[in-house]
Amino acid sequence: MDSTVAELITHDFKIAYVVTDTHLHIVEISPNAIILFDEPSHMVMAASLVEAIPELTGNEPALQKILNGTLPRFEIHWVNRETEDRQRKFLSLSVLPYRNSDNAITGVVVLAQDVTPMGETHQQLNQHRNELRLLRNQLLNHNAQLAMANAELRHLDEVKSTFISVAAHELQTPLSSINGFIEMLLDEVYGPVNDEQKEALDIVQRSATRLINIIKNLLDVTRIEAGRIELALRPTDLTELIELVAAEFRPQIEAKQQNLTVQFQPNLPFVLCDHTRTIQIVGNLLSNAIKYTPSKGSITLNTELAKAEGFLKITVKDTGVGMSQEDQAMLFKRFFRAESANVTGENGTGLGLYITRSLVELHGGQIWAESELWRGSAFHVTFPIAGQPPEKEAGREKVYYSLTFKVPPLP
Amino acid sequence: MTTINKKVCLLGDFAVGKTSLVRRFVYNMFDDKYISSIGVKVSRKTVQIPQANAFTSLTMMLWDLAGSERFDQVKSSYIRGTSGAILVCDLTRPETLANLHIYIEDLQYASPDARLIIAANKSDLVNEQQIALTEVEKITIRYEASYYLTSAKTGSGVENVFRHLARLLLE
Repeated sequence: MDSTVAELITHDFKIAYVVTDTHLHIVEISPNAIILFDEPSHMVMAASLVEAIPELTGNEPALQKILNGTLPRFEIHWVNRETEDRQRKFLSLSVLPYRNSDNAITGVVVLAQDVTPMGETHQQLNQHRNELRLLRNQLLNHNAQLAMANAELRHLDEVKSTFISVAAHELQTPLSSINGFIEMLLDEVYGPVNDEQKEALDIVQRSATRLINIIKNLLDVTRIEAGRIELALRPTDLTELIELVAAEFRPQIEAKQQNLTVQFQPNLPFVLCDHTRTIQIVGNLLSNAIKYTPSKGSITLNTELAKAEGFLKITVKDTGVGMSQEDQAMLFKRFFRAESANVTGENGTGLGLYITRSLVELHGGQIWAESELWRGSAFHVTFPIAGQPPEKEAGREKVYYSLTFKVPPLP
Repeated sequence: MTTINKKVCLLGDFAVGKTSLVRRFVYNMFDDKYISSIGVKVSRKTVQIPQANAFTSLTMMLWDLAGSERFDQVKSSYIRGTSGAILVCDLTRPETLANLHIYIEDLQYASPDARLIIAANKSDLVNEQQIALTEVEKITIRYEASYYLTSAKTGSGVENVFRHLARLLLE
C-alpha cells in the first residue's frame, strides 16, 4: 500500500489494516493493527488470519467468496478489545478483496476501524435500555405479587364481612325479642312495675336499643363494602323528611335542654334520594350533634341551595365539643372516633360517619365538615336536585319558609 | 499434544450473566456491577480433557454475544461456525428460560451440528428464584441437552458447565 495513503488512513482515520495472501495468511499489517491481536505484531506475520482474528471464525466460507470474487465485502460490528492498560475498545471490521495492479485478487484486506467513542455511547444506551427493562420486569413482578396479596386480602375481607353479617343477623333477632318484651313489661302487660323496676328496665331497654343500632351499623358496613346497598331514588321534598327526623329526636333534645333550629331556604327544589337512607343520613348527623353538644347548647339544621349547581345542601351545625384538625382528616374513616368525642363519655363505634359518607356518595352527593375544637362543628351534605316541585305545592313557600321550631328547655 | 480450537457461543437474554460466566471461567473473577455487552467479545481458555489414555488440549474460543441483540440481523454471522453453545438463563427471571428456545432455534439454523448445554445461572439468589427446576428440565428434554445450576458470583457449577461442553466438543 502507498505509504502516504497508509499513514493517512491509519493515523487520521484510526483505521488499522491487515492484508493476506490467497491462503489467508497475513502478509502485511499496519503498525496500529496491534490492537487486533493478542500476540506481538511480528508473531502474527504469516499466521492464519482466522487464528489471528478470532472474530472471523465461522466466516471462512465468506472469506473464500471474497477471494474468488463472488462476495464484495462483509462486516463485523462492535468487536470488543482491551488495550494493555485494560481499557475497552470497540472495533468495526470490514473484510474486502485485495487486488494487485492488474486488478486480480491476491488476498483479502481487513480494515479495523476504532469506533470506541461511538461504541461507548452505544454501550451506555444499551445499558440504560437494559436497566429500564430489568426495572420494568421487577415492577411487573411486584405488581403481580401485590395483585395476589390484594386478592388474598379481599378474600379475607369477604370472609370477615360474611362473619359479621351472619353474627349480626343472629344477634338481631333475640335482641329485638328482648326489646319487645321489655316494652311489654314497661307497659305493665305482665302486671304492675314499681319505679325501681321501671328504672332498671329503662336501662336494659336503652342498652338493648344501643346494641340493635350497633348491629344495624355493622350490617350496613358489610353491605356498603360488598356493594349490596341499593337505593330507591325518587324526587323528594327534603323539608318533609327533615321535619320528620327533627321530630324523632325531640325527646333527646328535650332531655339535654338543647335548642334545635330547623331552617329552609324558600322555594327549594326536590332532590333525588332514597327516603329511608336520607332519614338515616340526617338522623346520624343530628344524633351526633345532640350527643356531642353539651346541655343547653344549640343545634341548627339548615337546608339551602348549594354553591355547586344542581345540588341542595343540608348543614347540621352545633356548639358542641368540636374536633382538632388532625381528627377532621380521619373523620369519615371506619371505626374512627375523635379524641374530643371520648371525653364526652358518649358511646360510639365510629361507624356512623363512615356509613353516612358512603350513603351520601351513593346518592351522588358530598359530605364535609368544618370544626373547631371545643367550639362546635358543622357538617354539610349535598344531594342532587331532581327538579322543581310540582305546581300543586303552591303553598310550600309559606309553610316552609324559614321554618323554625325551637324545643323549649324543660322547666 | 495436539490442541484443538473450538468456537463456543454464550447465548441468552441480556443480564443473565453470560459475560460474568466467561469472566469467572477464564479469569476466576466476578464483579457485581451489571455492564451490558454490545457486539462480541472473544476470550480464550484452554482446558485439558482426558480422552482414552491421554489428555487432549482444547482451546475454547468463547464468544460472549450481547444478549439484547437477539434480533440483530448480523447475529447469524456471529454464531456461524459455532461448535458448541452455552444457553444461559437467569433463575430469577422466568422469561429468560422461556426465551431460550429462540436462541436454540437460531443456533440450530446457523450451526446445525453445534452441541449445546444449559446454564441456569444466579443459583446463589436462592430467595429470588422464580424458575422451578422442572421447567429447566423440560427444555433440556426437548433439546436433548444437559443443564447445570451455576453462579458466576460464587463460581458454583461454572467450571462444570464449561468442561462438560468441552467433553461434548471432543466426542
